Amino acid sequence: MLKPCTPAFHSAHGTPLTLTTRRGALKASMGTALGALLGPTLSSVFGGTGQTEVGRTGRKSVILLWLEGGPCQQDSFDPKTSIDPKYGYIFRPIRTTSPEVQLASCLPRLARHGDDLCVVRSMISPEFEHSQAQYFMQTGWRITGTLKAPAIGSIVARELGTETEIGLPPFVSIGTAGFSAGYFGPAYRPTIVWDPNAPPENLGLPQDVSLDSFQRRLRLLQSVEEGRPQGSLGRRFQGGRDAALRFMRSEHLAAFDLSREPQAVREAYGETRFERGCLLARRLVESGVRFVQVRHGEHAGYDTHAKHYPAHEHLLREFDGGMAQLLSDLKARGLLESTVVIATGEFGRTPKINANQGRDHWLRGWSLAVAGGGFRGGFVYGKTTKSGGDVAQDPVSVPDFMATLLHTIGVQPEKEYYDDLGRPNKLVDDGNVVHDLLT
Amino acid sequence: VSRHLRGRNVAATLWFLVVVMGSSLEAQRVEPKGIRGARRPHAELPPGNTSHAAAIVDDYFDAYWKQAGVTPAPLVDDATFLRRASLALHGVPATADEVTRFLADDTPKKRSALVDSLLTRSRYADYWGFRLRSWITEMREMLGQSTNIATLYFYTREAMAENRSWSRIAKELLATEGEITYRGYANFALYFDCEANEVAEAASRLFLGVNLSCAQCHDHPHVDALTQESYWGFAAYFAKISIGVEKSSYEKRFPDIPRNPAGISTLPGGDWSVDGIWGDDRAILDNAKREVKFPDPKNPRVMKPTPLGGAPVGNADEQKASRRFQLVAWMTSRENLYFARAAVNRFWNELTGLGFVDAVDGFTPEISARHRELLDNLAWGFNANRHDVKWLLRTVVLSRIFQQEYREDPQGRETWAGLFRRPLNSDQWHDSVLRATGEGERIYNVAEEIAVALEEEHRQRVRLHEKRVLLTVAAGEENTSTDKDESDAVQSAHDDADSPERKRWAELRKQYDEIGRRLRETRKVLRMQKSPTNEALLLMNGELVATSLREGLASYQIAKLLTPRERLDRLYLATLGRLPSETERGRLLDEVREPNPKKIADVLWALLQSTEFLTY
Repeated sequence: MLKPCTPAFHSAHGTPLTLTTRRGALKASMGTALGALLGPTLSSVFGGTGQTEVGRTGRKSVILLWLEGGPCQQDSFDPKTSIDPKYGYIFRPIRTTSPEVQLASCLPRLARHGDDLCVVRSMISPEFEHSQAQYFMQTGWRITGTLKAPAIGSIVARELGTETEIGLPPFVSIGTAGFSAGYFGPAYRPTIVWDPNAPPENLGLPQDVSLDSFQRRLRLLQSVEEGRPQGSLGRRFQGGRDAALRFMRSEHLAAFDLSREPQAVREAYGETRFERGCLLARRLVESGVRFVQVRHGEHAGYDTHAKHYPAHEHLLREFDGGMAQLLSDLKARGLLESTVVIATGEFGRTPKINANQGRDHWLRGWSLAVAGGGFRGGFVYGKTTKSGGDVAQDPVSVPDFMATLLHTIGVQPEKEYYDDLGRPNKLVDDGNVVHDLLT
Repeated sequence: VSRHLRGRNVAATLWFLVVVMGSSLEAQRVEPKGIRGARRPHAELPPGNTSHAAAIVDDYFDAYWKQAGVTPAPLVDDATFLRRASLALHGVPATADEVTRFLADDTPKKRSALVDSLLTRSRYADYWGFRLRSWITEMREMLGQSTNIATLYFYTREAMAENRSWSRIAKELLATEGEITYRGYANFALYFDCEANEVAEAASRLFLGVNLSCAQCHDHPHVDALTQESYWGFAAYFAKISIGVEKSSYEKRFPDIPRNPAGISTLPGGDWSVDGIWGDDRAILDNAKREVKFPDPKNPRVMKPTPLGGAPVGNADEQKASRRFQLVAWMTSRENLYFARAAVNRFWNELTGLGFVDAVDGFTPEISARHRELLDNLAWGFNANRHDVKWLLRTVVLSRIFQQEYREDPQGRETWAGLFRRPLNSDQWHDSVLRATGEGERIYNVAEEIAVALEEEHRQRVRLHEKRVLLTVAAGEENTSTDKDESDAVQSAHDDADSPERKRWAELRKQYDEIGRRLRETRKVLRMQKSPTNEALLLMNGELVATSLREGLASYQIAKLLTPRERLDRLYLATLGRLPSETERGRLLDEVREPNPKKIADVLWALLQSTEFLTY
């Protein structure tokens, strides 16, 4: 069945993906190695429902809302009552649907999900600079000269899902290229979606290339390659091309197409890239994608060394709407039990306001929030001192959190893999599962 | 005032050289002489008798293959050699015209003449500057805070352009103090966060070919000499490095120096196509008070600097040279074959895909290597030739090994009786696409036009400025109102941002920056790891290929050729560096019968996806 073009689904530089394909044009020249590329599947139509049964298996999925630059804990998940102006704290604590959980007043919509939220207020990290801290938060390993550790998305992709099962990549990164797959190798790198309103990177044909022209090109490629020695590399390229073409015409691609959502749903999420990213994350998880990360914060994001409040308020309000709507939606669809939603940056921000009305990096006690997927809702773990400086109770290290996350989704944190140098490495080193966080 | 003006002149001229004059990379024309373009040959060829050195390699393998009863693969034809040597030494295949010329050339020794010519063109430094930088940056997942990998590239490029000896490069990267903006080598320690043991590991991997890392926490399970003790003793050489963060504290020692114009990047988009221009002012200094301690919680004793496989240096801090200089002196001494062996293996591996050990840092202090005799011979030769990189490259490229046909069978692999195909690296692929599609040529033309326009702008500004100075002086003496009026007129012309010329210049600059931005982004994206699926999507639908096919000059130029045969020949020459076979002509001539650039671009696309194009 042919689907009509949907104008909303355009790549930044590309044509609409939902092209109507002409079966007849494809009958020619099959039979050789490259003929496989032109096989009957190309005549199937981009599109489909975007729903698979795989999304309903017992396996869990993870959505990481990546708050680039490090949000301020006291202005989000660890609000304080101090009125001393040197601490700022213009967002007062507000009540949520859970008596346990209080949030900063700039998160009113999330407050309605207090009973879903598991807030950790006692995160600690040794890494002071963004790139190192992000690497640590994403991999659970401090950066060293030789070990190239896989990021959490790559771990989940490897442990919980592969492309072949569902016709969709297991790991999608929205608005960011994400981090390296480390010694897992490039096969576990994410598929990147730069703009949630457009298809994944390089998936759409370039603007000036029609489907006819593309088919002619594939046929020409077949002629060029005919009789040429291919070798193992040639087979590798061909394998990649096969998979790429399968992906280009996968019936599950509709999962990436936000225009298929009812208008009311799109409006409920909102218009910004982050909010649209949240909606896309929900669609993807529903279709069986195991790990989706959505970046929030353009450029430096939450890294507000100067004029902290205007920037943070803007970001947090946008974040509030996106995450709250995501949680409602997942819940309504019965997906929240099988989906872990994490909101975190790489560290927190200084309790005191600096001379430029900004806040700097803070490692000694910061917060993150988790919901769903077996994490205990309506629960706060750990505590910082009154002025918000240090952890007063129950510190949680980054590897601790990573171990807890892996444990929840059914992956052994102690599982070992060999790295490039042939050394065995655990997925998480030196991290203890914090069972209190889990139901 | 005039001194000030001269200073500005120099600065402005440099700026042109840096940003505007570049772009010879894809130039399909003779490199211009003189200051325009700054594309002089960079260094004389090494004095050593290189064909003799290549003969050492050939003799060794002749004997070895004979003894092993192996028939080596035949030598490749001229077209393949040209493509392979150009990709290896310039990171880009020859242009169609160059291929035609080379095939028609019937002088003897044209292969060695070609290699000499490749080694003395600026494109050599552009590409090998990237290689050297990649060797450094690929050792780690991500860069240390504030590292400026753009100025690191300016350094690596300049070092290759001037053909600095490998030992001097080691000295600069490992031992020299400096700030990072004008002394790019200082980024090395910064890249590894200035942690003594991390810098030491990197130094050992890059220059000794030894990967120490497992000994950080325990003795090496299989190699006796790699003890945890030796690891931390080696790290102690870097105990004193520190990061200077206050510019005022070091700027007297490291004044701003103008970059050597001949050493400036000639990439399309000028320096802006080098990714990663950012970072604060930082300097690497040798003034830390700290010591490296053995990580034994019960007995954290201070480690003395210890060369690998050697005894601790007792009085390291009493010597005049810093610890780091002492290390480099030990590393690069003629008696120390670790250094030369590691270099030989690294360059050999880069050029042929074959290694004397399994990885470029796969040596251990007790050397066990394939073809050990040859390795040591070459290492001695490298030492005798003062660690001359071009000597080494020339030796390998002119040897039989580099010139063999491909062979993939296990015996061929085992006995080096054939090369196996390797994928182009991201820089090679990027520049190959630009060249084959004529997009590089188009960028060059734009850049050339901008360079001319901006030069004119500059001359006008200088003229205006001089006139103003003269008028001001005259006004001081006589102070007539006419002079004042004229001065004001000059001033306002100078300042008038709305004048058509000023607008045009601004527009051209913008265009130029835009090209640079695009290239910079593309290179950055290409360097990221990709899964095979995403890699294939990038090759088929990615922006570089799409833009180059749309805007590059090749498909338009080829469509204008008279006969289908000429068109097809040109397509093959531009992409694969050879003429099509008769069978290929038979299959594809019909496809280029129509002189339609779009149809030509389709064939070009197919050739760009072919295994032959993507490998070498």
